[in-house]
Amino acid sequence: MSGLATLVPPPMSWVARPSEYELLMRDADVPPPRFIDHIAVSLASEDIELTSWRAPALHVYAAPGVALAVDCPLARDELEDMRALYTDTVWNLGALPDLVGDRLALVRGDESPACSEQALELHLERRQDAWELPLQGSRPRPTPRGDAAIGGFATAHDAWAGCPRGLDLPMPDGNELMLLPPEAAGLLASAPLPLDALQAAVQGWHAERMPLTLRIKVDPKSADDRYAHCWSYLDADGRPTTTPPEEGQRGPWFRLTVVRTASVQVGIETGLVLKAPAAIENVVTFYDHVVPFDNVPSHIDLDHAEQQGRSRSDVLQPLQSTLQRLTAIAASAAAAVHDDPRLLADGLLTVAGFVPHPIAEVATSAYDLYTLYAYATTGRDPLGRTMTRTEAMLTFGGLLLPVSGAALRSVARGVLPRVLRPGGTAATRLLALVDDAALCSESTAGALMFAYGFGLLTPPPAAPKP
Amino acid sequence: MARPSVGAHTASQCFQSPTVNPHFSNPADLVEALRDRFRAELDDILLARLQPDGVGMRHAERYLGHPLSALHVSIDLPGNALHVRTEGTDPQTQRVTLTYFPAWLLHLLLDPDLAMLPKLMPVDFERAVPLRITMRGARATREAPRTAPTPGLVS
Repeated sequence: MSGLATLVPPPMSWVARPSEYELLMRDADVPPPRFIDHIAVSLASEDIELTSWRAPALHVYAAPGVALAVDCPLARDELEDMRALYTDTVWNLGALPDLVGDRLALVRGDESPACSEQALELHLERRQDAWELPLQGSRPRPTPRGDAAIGGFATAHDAWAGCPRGLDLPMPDGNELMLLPPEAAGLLASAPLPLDALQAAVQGWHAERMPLTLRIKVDPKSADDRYAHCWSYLDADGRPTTTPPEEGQRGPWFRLTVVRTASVQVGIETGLVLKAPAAIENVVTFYDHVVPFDNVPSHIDLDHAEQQGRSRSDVLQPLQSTLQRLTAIAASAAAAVHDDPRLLADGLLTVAGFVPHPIAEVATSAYDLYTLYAYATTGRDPLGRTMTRTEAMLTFGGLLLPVSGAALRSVARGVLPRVLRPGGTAATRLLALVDDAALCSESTAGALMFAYGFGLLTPPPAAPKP
Repeated sequence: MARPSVGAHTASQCFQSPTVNPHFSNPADLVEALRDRFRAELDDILLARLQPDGVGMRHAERYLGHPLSALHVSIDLPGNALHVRTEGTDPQTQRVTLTYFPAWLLHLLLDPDLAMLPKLMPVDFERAVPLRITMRGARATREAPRTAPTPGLVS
């Protein structure tokens, strides 16, 4: 072989996309600015304009043998404390946080509104061939789709002509093979789409009448998963071929061969159904070969099974049994609760908040009041976690106190400093909390109720001069 | 020219405002501890801010290095930063560490002057966390002999 056989491509690659902006709204009297002007305009200007900055994205690609690890470099407590610090300083600058997570940002003052998303879009992808990895630093491209010609989808009409068809879709964590037996292909080729017949076919759970989804699944972060697969049609004599079968051909129409390491999963996607569809062996023959990591080839032939002398095919199982799925869900929930047991209390309180029974309503309201009291005195919630002013505001709003903004502010600024010790942390927090609550409030009675409820105000209003 | 150092800013400058809500015992300690932990990354990010090697044409992001260099920093306009360090020259055994800092965290760690803080919180504040992604070649992939000729190559 020539020297080309000694080239080895790098087994890992990453592609990043920075944050991109979009101009959503602008003042109709002002012409849209050029980009350079727009930067200055959106950052420090009084024009009416709404700019949205999309979150940056990072695509990480790896070939087999590369170990990937993702974690947060901050501990949970540190992250909570930094979030609380940030919300405090932002609020002190006079900007409102986005309480409901809407894309439109509320502003106070003459600042130009711009909203940004800062949660990184992270995509981890594992490709089995190192030559298929995108060039590092190039433009991000979507996962390539399967070869349409081999799948028989040369034209849209061919795809749904009523003959058996298959489609191989590369996924970030493996491959997905969609197989259409003749009946299912015929249903999909009919216009209008017979949804009732399709639903009946799927519910019948018979492999010769329903679309099948086979899945080869790897763990994108694991360095020990590796596989090679080859799928093909079968001709009338049962030999593998790339030509799609004709109408009226009987027997199994597809073959799937997989050479894999033990940790790779292969099976049928069944959702929550416990067993595979009936008569699966009449639709697809499956050959499975488990080998050590270094023995997995990069490509295998169509007739790999004949080359290996395999006479008996393997049985296709559901990819993940219902019990496994439920166990995985329960295990992740148990791990989260073990990590932070206070999540369980959170969950129970949330559920109790929806119960319409008066005892539950009184109990949750009392807990909310106690939460505000705990925040005012210690800065933490009753379970001991650092609480941000956003959360305190949401708790206060959840109590649905109808409070007038102006009245509450006057109460807060005029009365509370004379009652509480000025400069103390509790006074600061309460002042801040009441002032913040004033932004979402409506009537006067509630303001007094709030102040009386906390024992802050005692009539008469004639307070001593400071 | 000397690289700007994060240590030049002291944590006490963070808390000049009298209405900062002192939940925790000493937030200045936490900020200093995080600055120490990420000192190398924050130095590189400051350098990318002040002396970028390149600037994006469309969205005005700032770059230090290029994606194939050992150190690459990319800061977009809202302030999010991606810091990539590659250790080792052999692509089969190199170790790549990508660290992502959302803008809100960088503003706390790098900008004690409160006037530099952004005017609005991000809309996905609860989900915007720093991330660290590590890639390393754990196993060498010795190519098993191909049973089918590679399309395109002439043997």
